[in-house]
Amino acid sequence: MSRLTPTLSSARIVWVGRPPPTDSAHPVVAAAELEQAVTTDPMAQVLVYDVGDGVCLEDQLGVVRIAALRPFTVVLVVDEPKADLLGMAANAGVFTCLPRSAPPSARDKLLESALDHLHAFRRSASTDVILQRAAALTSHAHFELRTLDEAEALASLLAACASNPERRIGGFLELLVNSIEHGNLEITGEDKRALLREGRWHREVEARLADPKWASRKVRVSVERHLSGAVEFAIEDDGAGFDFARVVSGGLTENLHRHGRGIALARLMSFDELFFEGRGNRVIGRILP
Amino acid sequence: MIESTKQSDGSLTLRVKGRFNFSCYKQFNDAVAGPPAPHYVVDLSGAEYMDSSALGMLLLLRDKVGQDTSRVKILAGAGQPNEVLKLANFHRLFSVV
Repeated sequence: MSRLTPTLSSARIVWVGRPPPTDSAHPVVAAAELEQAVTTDPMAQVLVYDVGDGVCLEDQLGVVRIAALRPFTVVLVVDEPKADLLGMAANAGVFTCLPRSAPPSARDKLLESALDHLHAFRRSASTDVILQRAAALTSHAHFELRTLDEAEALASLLAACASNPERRIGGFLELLVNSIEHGNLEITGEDKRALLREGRWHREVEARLADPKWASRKVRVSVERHLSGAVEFAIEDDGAGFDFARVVSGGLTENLHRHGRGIALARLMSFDELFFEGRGNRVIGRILP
Repeated sequence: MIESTKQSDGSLTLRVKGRFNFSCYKQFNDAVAGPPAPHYVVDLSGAEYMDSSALGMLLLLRDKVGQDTSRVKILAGAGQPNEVLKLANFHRLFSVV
């Protein structure tokens, strides 16, 4: 059986510039121009950029930077891996540099790690997309949380229940963190500023989460999608609440310049409507269709 | 992460990289400690995200220069930090470019 010659459409590694090695353990095809590799080969997974002498490095990296916006890993072949060059390459989005003098075994290992890196990235990216699509199907949901890590994870999921999740995550995180630190753990705004100044804020939150006085307190979150398409989020903590009328009565801009910045930012970034209930320990955010 | 660089005229440049949030507070505070510099530049072009704590840090800096808008320049960059600065109307309080 004759050996099939790899083509751009089936290649995993595209070698741009100089002729590719003939002894690679991985299928490698050549592309004379970067544009050819990035525009015509949807299967390209690793792009090895190996330009001839006399080409300005800055120009090379500029082109690679554009190429790296596509979902593939870029490897830059260099004559000598100097520290400043490696730094510039990293800033340009290059996965790693391959010394031209590298023996075939080292070169193949490096290409293998570049392929693995991309596979991991694609798995992660596709999981995000699937979770976002699943979250958009939520009709009713309830969650309980206690910690800042849990708040960060849940903020992403809640934001994914509505449109423009990337824009909304920050507002959910502001409200959840408020409920944990100010609500459940009774850390006042002044306490927080002092703790942050001293670099002790995170440790204090952890200490209070472990303290029997506060350990059983939770934040409860519910999501309800209405027939109209509006999505309503309720976030409730076990704290004593606060004088929300004082914080939310001013204009949004005024609030951003004094207390309640997190609440004001959440209103601006993430919700069409935001209001407090009860003693101030329950906040309702609505996103309209 | 915040990198601070003092210029020959005593002005201070603060470069924020990655997430500009509560985790930067101590670095920020340490960087601006001491007598006020003539001018500050806060470079957010490398920042991916900013939260309400970051807005608070910028307001502290504004207080430090007696609320003189011309003495704090913010390089807003693009993306979420720029959007937050716009939402907060910070161009009214700072020189935002």
